Amino acid sequence: MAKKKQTKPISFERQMRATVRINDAAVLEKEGEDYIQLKIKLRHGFFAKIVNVIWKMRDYKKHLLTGFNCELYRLIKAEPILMRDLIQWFIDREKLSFFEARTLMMQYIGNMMQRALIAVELPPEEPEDAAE
Amino acid sequence: MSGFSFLLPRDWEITAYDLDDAEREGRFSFATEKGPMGQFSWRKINASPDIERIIEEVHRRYLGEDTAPKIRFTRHANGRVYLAHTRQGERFYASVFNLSKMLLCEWIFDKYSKDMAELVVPMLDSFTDNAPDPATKRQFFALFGLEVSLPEGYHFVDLEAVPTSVTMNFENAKHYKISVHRFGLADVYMQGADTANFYHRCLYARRYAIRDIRKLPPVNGCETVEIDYRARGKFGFDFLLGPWWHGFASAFYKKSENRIYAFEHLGSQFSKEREKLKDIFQQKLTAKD
Repeated sequence: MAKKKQTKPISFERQMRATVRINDAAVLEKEGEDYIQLKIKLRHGFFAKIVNVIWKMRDYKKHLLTGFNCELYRLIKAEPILMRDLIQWFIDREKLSFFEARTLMMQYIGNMMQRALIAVELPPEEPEDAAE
Repeated sequence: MSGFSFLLPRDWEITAYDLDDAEREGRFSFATEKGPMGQFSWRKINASPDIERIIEEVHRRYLGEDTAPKIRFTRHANGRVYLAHTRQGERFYASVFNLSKMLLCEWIFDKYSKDMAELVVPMLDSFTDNAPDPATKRQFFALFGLEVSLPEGYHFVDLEAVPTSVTMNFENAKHYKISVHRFGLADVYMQGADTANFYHRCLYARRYAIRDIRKLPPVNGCETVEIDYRARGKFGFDFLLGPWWHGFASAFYKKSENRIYAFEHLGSQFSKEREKLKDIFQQKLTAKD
């Protein structure tokens, strides 16, 4: 069995310098005051493409964002934002400590990344990142 | 905690802890936005330690420092706390022994520098044994933003700390239980409801039988509620025979911090501790913003 390539851990400072941006491929379907509905084109695997010939499968997946998720998406959509600034925004909004805000924000970001709504772009590695 | 107390620098946070056997040993790790700051640990030992020898041994093993004169010592908190460092950029160490509890408390800090030393010295100077106050017969606990003054006799049992929700549990010799809570994201948790509505639902979700809810006049601008509840007896024959134990809970919403503080006491119907518990959060409740 092929050995899984071990990825180098990303330093804390590099994580904070990462940029969060929306996925331009997410199409806005409906929008209201406190909700956004988006759809993402699905990419079918090899066997799914064969099945698709016989049974028509859906091409898009829809996501409905409400409440805080909606507010977060609009903030990121307005302008790509640094992770550090995003955490600071959350701290100021909810009066949290740094690590509380960072842990919760990572969960929100991770959830939206899994749904392919946003992406996190890491900056180039700098010498102080390697030193950690 | 019982056995030690010191003030953390403002932006230091506890990012990891081990409190499985907190009376005998445990540790906290501290960090800030800039990265890890250090670690604090404590352990029960059988005899008074030779702290200087321990410091030399720590440096010899971990830093390869074989000669004692390279280690610089300073003393703090009226000479009780030893602080030792070697070179700039190396980890450095502090230690103190609590004779009454036979606890050896040790700090290991990241990367010695003049700035770092200036940061930790006030923390070490603030060290006390945190013994119960003989005048008021109260024991003070403060952790993760929760500051409580408990009646004497309650010992720390466990801690559950997740982002925006911290719970500390205490118990006394009769197995009466006190739980204290601190919730963040209060506006999200409450969803427009008031403190009474929010907190009675928390108790109800834990299958407590709510008996009475009293909304009190705001104290220092904080919405406050008291709740009486019942739960099955928790220990011994009370658990077997099933008489209901009496519970008393109180919660307040501190808007300026966007936090809800709450505590619950559960004890037998013969417990007369209710009056002692009313000011459990007095410092927090009346503190100026």
